[in-house]
Amino acid sequence: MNEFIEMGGYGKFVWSAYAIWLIVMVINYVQPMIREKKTVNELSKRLGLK
Amino acid sequence: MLLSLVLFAVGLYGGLVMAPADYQQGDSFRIIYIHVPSAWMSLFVYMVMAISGGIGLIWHMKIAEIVARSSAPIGASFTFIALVTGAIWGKPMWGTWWVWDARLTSELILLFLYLGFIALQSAFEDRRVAARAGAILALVGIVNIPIIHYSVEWWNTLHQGPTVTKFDSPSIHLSMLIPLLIMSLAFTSYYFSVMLTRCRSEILEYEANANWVKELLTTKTASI
Repeated sequence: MNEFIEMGGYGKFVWSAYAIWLIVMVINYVQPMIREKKTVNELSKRLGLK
Repeated sequence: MLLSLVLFAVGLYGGLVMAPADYQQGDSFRIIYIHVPSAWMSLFVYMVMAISGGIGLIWHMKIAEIVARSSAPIGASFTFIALVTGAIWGKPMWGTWWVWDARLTSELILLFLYLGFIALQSAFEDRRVAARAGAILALVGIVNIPIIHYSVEWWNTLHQGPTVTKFDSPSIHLSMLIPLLIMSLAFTSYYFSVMLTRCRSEILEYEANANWVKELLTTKTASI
């Protein structure tokens, strides 16, 4: 397990790259979902449905 | 999205656990599994964006404009990931985070093209005008795509040459190649899923005054 984390001494490079990747991917996925909710909410309000 | 999650899991397991270390680069090569698919996708998404932008420009198809507009932020993030992971990979391998070599510079220009497109989208009140301006920028910027792709062959770059898309057989072992291909599939399906979610909100905002939107929202709020 330790060997896996160390990545032959390149651990900090490999894992920081993967961490940045993961953060960007999650933001990209979550942001449109929040926006959709907001849009639906705003439009419903405007139409007097809420 | 479920499909991309499964593909990501399989691809990451294959790439981080199963694949052997590279004989020259040791374990640092494992960055390839996010770096290369991001870079491929940065080009692919740009092509989608420019072509659908072009379709919108010529035939005034709203949906094509929406696809272009929805693709831009995703493409920009893939470009960003490719550049950043490349820098993190370059540090231990080349001894530097950044060099002004042809591949790196042209990819940086791609990021600026994406950012320019996004800026244009919010620069105009009228969405149709914004879509037209963006499409023109995207189509002009298309010239950069072959430059990125062939940069490692046309110029002597610090960036390594192609290992997968060569005409003869790829110079990468199967145990390393298969996770890479799975990751690329995962990236592709992720892109389409996020892009379609973005398109949905765009369409709702575009058509805010249409009758079907009213009906849809009425049934939606009634069911809650």
